Amino acid sequence: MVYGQLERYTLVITEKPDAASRIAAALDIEGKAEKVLENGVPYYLAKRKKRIVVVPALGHLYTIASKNNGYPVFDYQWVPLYVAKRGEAYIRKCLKVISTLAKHADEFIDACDYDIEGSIIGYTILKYACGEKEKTAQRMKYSTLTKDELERAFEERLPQLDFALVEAGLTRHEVDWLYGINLSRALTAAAKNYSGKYAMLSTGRVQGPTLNFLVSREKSIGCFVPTPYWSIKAEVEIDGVVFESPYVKRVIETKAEAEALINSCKDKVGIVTKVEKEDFIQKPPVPFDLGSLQFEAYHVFGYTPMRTAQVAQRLYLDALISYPRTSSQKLPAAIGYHAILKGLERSSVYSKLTQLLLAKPELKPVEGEKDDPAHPAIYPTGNMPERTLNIDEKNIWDLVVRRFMSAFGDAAIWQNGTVTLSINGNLFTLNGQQVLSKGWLHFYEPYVQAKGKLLPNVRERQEVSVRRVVLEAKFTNPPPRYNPSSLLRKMEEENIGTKATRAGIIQTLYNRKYICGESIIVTELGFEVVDILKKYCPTVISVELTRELEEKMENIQRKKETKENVLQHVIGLLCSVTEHIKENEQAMGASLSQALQKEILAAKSIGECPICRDGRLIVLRSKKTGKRFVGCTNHFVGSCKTAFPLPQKGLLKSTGKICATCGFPSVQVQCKGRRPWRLCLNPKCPTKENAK
Amino acid sequence: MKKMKCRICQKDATEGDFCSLHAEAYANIVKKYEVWRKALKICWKEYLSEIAQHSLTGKWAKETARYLLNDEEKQDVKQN
Repeated sequence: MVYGQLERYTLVITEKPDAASRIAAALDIEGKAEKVLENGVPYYLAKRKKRIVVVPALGHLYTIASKNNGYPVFDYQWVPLYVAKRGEAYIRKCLKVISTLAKHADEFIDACDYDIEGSIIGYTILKYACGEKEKTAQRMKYSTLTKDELERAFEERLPQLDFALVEAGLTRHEVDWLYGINLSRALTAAAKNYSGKYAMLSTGRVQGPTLNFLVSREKSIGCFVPTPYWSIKAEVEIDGVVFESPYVKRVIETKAEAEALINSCKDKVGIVTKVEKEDFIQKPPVPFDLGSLQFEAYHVFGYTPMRTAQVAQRLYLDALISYPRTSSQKLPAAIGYHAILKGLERSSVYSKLTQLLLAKPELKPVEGEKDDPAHPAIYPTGNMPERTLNIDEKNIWDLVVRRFMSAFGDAAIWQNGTVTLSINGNLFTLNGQQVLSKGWLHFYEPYVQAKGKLLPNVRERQEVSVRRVVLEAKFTNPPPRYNPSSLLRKMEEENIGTKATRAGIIQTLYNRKYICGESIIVTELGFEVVDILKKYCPTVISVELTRELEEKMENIQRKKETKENVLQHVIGLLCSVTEHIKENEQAMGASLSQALQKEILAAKSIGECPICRDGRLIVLRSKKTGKRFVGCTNHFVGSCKTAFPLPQKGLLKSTGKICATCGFPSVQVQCKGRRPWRLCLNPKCPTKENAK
Repeated sequence: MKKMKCRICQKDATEGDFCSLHAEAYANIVKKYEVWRKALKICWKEYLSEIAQHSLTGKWAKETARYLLNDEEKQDVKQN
């Protein structure tokens, strides 16, 4: 065993193996740390003034577990992850190696990420695996995994852990655990006690209010009644080019008024009454914090917030970008703008762009208002990739690099132009926009529209020919559905959850089948859970209460509140909530079981029955022959006998789509060794006739 | 006391004849009728039939409009 042969050493604990390898290499005097594998667990030996052993965790190695089953439960303790969860044998090995290494160390450094989660990971390992070394351990604080910064963070390490951050983190974990375990057990038990069937149901401190936003939006969409309106546009010809010119009043409320306007413009020429031009300045966008990076990546590449966070984390571990879980939109000069740009200059893609910035007399970035005491905004480190990046990594890295460069760019100058035309006294407008000076758009061009619409060259009192005036009947639209990105933004606006947890909470809503689709639809089960929470424990979906708790926990970090106070408040609240739930368990169970049944049916369903339009089509098996076929659920109540034959081989999957020719639902059939094919259920579908 | 059921979906009625969702949809339908009447000079029945098949109408508003239309037709039959 290598550690036995060493003199006393400094034990550095990191959050992930990649970080351990980078930290060890950065701290080793020759830049070559030795990797040791013990029982499959890696750690690294580095030489500096003193021997250093760098050992990684694998994220959280400890978690909270209850001492008993059922609910309410307020008795808990921090335990190794392998005690609380099955299949975590590797964690046991990991903790054993850390504990043994700790015995021979005389100095401890927590080098986990400097945020709430990192602080908890380091704290629990030092406390439980290293024998209460959290009291004497020192703390490395860094925002990138570059050699220079890691060396600086080691030499200038903080004398102790950030206990306020640890306390805030422990409180957050314990509060969320208390909410989650009590409410989820209550929902699951209610459904199980009523139907006898087990189904995992969950809700939580942030999950409940988030689902409630979605339900409220779903209700607005479901109860929406569109209203009619009309809009008018003239097609005018200027110098042989046709332009569309909308009527100044964009919404005309009555058909009569719209028709009168059309008649009034008939066979008339247009006269230019006004030509206006105005310049405006567009400042560069502020540097990325995690939320804005997730929003932009969804907008530009369609990546979910979860996917973006995972890719950004990989880029951070490769030392290509700074720590991504930040709320800051600021780029302090200490990060070394010049060195980063010089680093990026080595890339053929960015060299010309960086040269433009490096030629500037002063480098001063635009910054946003949001700040984070632990980390700056997300920025590229200036390092080049040491391996081939996959497409997601390339995209996110490029986005971060270009956004960083844009922050140092000049403002873009645009010119807005408006031409007003009179057609028999009715005013129409032509709008155009062009870039006078690209400024920062030059750096961010792939992700921003830098081309405008040019206006025709006209003068006042000039006559223009009107080709036709068009009346368009329109209707108001329902409010848009949330998507993962806009929902994340809503959570940010409402200040519920943290930058590190929001994307995961949205994913949990999908996993629990409370929501589905990229354009989010709330399922019957999701509705039922919110209805039940609203009815029996409205406080747990109250945004105000969730926000109030967030503030209390932020105050722990600011040393204005204590963990004990917050926990006492939460336990008091949960006591009365669970008591009320127990009293109404029967009614809750009935509603949840019904919703679960509907959900199971919906998952099996191929689509609406095209004959009775009331039942759902599902795959059934004939009792006589054992052959499978599609039948309507109303067959069970005797009101619909619709049935369609199915191929007897292959895996069937609902496409969720209807046949474009006959409107019947279709399924996808997948046979081994063959490409999947789509089958319209209608045996008399014209497409099948054509194929004969 | 037996709870009133929603006339459309048979869930517990919260307001009058409807559950909370269909009640909200009904309130919207009534509120928007004035706008439709002014815009297109149509009667209540024509309005219901328009919104019942409109692609932008929400599913509960559609169900409520269809229910109201059926109700109107039943009343017409009774009167005749």
